[in-house]
Parts: sequence; structure tokens; C-alpha cells
Amino acid sequence: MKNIVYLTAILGAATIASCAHITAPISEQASVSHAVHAVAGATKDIIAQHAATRAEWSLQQRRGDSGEFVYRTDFDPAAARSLPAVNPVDAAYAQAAAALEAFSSVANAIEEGHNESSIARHAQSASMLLRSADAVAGAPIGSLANALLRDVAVARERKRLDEVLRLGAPNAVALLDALSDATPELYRLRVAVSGAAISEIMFEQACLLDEVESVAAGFALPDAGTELALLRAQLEADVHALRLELDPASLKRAMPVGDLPYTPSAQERLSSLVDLARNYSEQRRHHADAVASFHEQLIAFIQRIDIARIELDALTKQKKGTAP
Amino acid sequence: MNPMDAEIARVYAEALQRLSRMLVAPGVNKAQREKLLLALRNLHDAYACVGQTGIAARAVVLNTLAAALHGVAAEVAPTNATNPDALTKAAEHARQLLMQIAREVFPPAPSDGQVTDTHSAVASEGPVPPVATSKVPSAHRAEYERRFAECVVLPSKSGVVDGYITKLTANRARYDAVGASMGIPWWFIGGIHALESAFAFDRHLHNGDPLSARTRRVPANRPVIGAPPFTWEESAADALVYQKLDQWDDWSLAGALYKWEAYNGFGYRKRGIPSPYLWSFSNQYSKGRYVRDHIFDPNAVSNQCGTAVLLRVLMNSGIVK
Repeated sequence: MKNIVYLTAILGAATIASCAHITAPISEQASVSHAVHAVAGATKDIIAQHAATRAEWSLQQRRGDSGEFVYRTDFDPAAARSLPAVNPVDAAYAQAAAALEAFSSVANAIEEGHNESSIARHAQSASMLLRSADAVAGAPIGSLANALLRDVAVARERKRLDEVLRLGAPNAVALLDALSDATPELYRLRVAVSGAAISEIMFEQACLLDEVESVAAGFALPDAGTELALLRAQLEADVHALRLELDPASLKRAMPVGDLPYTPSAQERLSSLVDLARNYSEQRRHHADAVASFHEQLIAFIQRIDIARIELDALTKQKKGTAP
Repeated sequence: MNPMDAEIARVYAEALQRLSRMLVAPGVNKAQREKLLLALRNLHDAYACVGQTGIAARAVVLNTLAAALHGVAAEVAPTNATNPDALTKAAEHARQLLMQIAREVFPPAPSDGQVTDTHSAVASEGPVPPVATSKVPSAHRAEYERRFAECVVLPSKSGVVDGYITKLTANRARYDAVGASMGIPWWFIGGIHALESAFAFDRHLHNGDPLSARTRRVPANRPVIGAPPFTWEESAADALVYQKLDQWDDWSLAGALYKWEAYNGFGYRKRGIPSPYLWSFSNQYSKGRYVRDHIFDPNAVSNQCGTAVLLRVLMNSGIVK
């Protein structure tokens, strides 16, 4: 009996020790799970934006030198067959997001004390993702994502979970670093695409303002003190404001005048041209805002990455027993 | 950020600011604005391509960028709202960056490792991207004229050379279609087509790589603009512009031979042998060739007819005056 009590005590202590080994850093795991999950979500958002930007760029590429949109007159099935079904950049990012999600869910499983079958499901989903990973194996982000998925795929039973976190944390950190390193490339494309659109708009605006001056050059100034004189003065101020908006260093210059009497229809024509030019300003602002918004999004992305990295570093140190 | 990328970003921002200011300046006429817009499109396209396939692509991007700036500086500068000196300086800065990449950073052997059966192997010790050269060096000119005068087709190769001439003349209309607007003679393009891709119209004129993708070998990642698959004409035009042949106006004998040799590279001169790209199948050449980019085999013998030899036969037969 004594022996049985002694054995029970030993087993109990071992069980407690084992549980403690798996569940001790619960707060760390919860933080890691949350932080890594946030990065995975942000990665999906970023890559969706990037895919949309690439589509815009592709549309711009179909433009001829004179600005018209061009298209191929032939279709080559063999060439079409050789194109990748999924863009490799998108595939690598999708794989990265999936790997981070899988890693996050493992940390979550530990925290919530999931049962064996639930743990096995996590491992199975990681294995399935790995099977579809061939297409992205060559890209650095894809390779790191696959390494992380391989770490997660071994978590088929509770006692392996701890090992997954220990092995996977450095790979997760490397993947976060790779995602961080890739952001300048993503931003550059956004800048180029929006920049191209803005240049087109500036061209249209400059041509419209030229046309305003060209039309105005045909008409004399209206009689001073009349409503037309006020309208024309306002028009001249509007033109100058638009030129300043296009180039803050633009110098004020008087609109040219001609000989024909200034009529309401002349005023109407000039006003409509100025209105058109003003409408283009809205479009230009929209494109500039898109760049600024993406910049903000990337800043938030980097901040999320940094939080996740700090959490993972702390977890790694804890696993190695080097935490303060 | 990689320091080179940071520098490219700085050059882009500077060029964008200058070109944009010129684009909207009062007093610039519509034709000038259109040229500026075209330069801006090239600038944005080049920037979008930075870093996509490594350092080789960056070199190409900078070349495109510098070309865009040079074009604008030359054609649009004389307006009251522009600063041509500043623009030219920006272009020169871009070009210096390009040369820096080419000389110091470029990997020494970017070949795919396959021995080529065409002359697409680059015959230079360092793949320096093309820079417009104003004239043929006088020593080269004298040598070209002497060799051309002495050039005789090897009797054992005369039948093969006839085959080249048949194909060359049959394709004349397509060469003319690409080259006429740039002032480049059809036979010059045909010579490159023969040597780079054995007259195949499903290959890049740049280097014989398949048109189904951008070029992989030197010059890599061409054409920068557009998306594969490319037509032969699209890529050929890109190759001619890339090599600055659209800016070359010396189509004398020496001028043509000089640009042919430049297309393949001047590496044979360092080896002390006449370039097979020009002289193969003639009494001017016996052996030694670059079997792939930058890899020289002193005993390998070219199995293609040189471009100067083709021109010699075309002139002998009266097809080219």
C-alpha cells in the first residue's frame, strides 16, 4: 500500500511536472498566439492590396506610347499554358499567412488545453498546406513559410506541442523578418502605379489650362464693373490656383486677351474647361491618398511584426531557460 | 533598405520632381508635354521593375531611367521653364549608378550554364550595358576596312553561307519593318538575327532566349516594358533601342562592323583574335570563342557565319551597295 501511495505520488508529481512543462508559459503563448495571428491577418490584407496594385500596373502596361490602350491580336495557347496559375508572390505571401496562422493556432491550442484530436487536426491542416507548397518553394518567403509549416506538422500529440513552439519560434521570426524586408518592394510598386496615374492627370490638367489660355486669347476683357468682368477675374484666379496646385513654384501671369467681345458663352466655355481641370484635381488627390494610405498600412504591418517578434523572442528565451 | 535601392529611390524622386515640374510649366507646347509624359511613363515603369529579379534588373532599370532623362534633356530642354543642365546632371547621375553596378556589383558569370550553339554568348570580361558612343575609334576603323578588304569566304563554307544569304534576304521585310523608323539598315538587323537566334522568330533578338519570357541571359530581364509572351518585333525594337542603335548614325562599313562587334562584346580583342561574331567562316578567323557568357575556349571554333562575312557576300552579290 505504501508503495502504491508512493507510486501514485510519483506519477502525480510527474503529471504535474509534465503539465507544467507544457502549460507554464500560458501568458507567453497567449501573447504569441495573438501577435502572430495579427501579423497573419495583416499579411493577407497587404497582399490583397499588392495584387490590386499589380492589376493596375498590368493595365497601365497595356498602354501604347501615345496613351491609347493596346492589346494583342494573336493568342498563343502554348504561351498561356506556360504562365503560372497563381502569381508566385501572392502564393508565397498566402503561404506565409497560412504558416503563421498554423503556428498561432498551435500556441492557442496549448493555452486552451485542446484535446488530442484537435491537436491532430492542426497538424493535418499544416501537412495539407505543405503539399500545395511546391509552387512557392523557390521564393525566400515561401521557403521560410514551408519550414514553419513543417514544424507545425509534427504536432500530432500533446507532448509534441512544446517542441513545436521551441523549434518553430526561430523559423517564425525569420519569416517575419523576410516579410518585413519585402515591404519596400511592395511600396515601390504602389508609388510607381499611383505616380504614373498622377502624371497622366497632370498632363491632362496642363493641357486643359493651356486650352483655357488659348480660348481666352481670342476675347477682349469685359467692361470693368460688369458681372462678366467679375466672373472673368474669378476665372483667372481659379486658373492661377490650379497652376499653383500643380506646381507651387508657378509664377502668376495674366491670361492673354484678344479682340472679340467677351460674351456669356465665352465665359461659359472657359468655366467648363476650368471645371474639368478642377475635377482632375480630385482624381489626383485620390491617387495620392492611396499611396499615403498604403504607407500607413505598411507602418502598422511593421509594428505588428515587431510586436510578434518580441513575443517570439521572449518565448524562445523561456524555452531555453534564458529568460530573466 | 539596400543602399543601391535607396539611391535609385532618390534618383527616381529627383527625376520625378523635375519632369513633373516641366510637364505642367506654362509655355511648354503640347508636343513637348507628350514627350515629357512618355519620359515619365518610362520612369514609373522602370521604378516599378526595381528589384524584381535582382541586380541585373536594377542595371536595366537605371539604363531605362537614364535614357528617359537623356531623351527629355535633349528634346524638351530649350523652354523657358526648364533647367536642362540639372536634368542632364540627373541623367548622368543615373548613368554613373548604372556603370557602378555594372563594374563593381554585377556577378561575374550569370550564365545558365549551357553551352550555346549561337553567338549569343557575351564576349566581354564585364557585361557593361551599352552606352551611346559617338564614333568608331580610328584604330578600329582601319582594322575593319583592312580585314573587310581581305575577307574571303572559306570554300568549305560557301554552301552554308549561301543558305544564310537566302534566309537573310527572305526576311528583309520584317527587318525593315523594325529598323526603318530608327534608320537601321535591314542587313544589320538580319546579321544579328542570324547570329543570336539562327533566324528564329520565336527568340529574342537580344540574345536568342525564348520570347515566351523576358530574357534570362545577358542582357537579362528584357524587354522591361510589356508582358511576355512578346512578339519578335516588340523585342527586336527593344534590343535595338537598348543597344542605342537608334541613336547611331554612322552606317558606313566601319560603323556597322563596330556596332556588330559591340553587340556581342569586345572580349575577343583582349584575347588577340578577330571576333568570330564578325569573321567566322572566312580567312580572317581560325579558332577561339566564348562558349557561354564570359567563358572563353581557345580551341572552340565558331559554327556560325560572321556578320561581316555576310555583309561581304551581300556586297559581292550586289544586294547591298
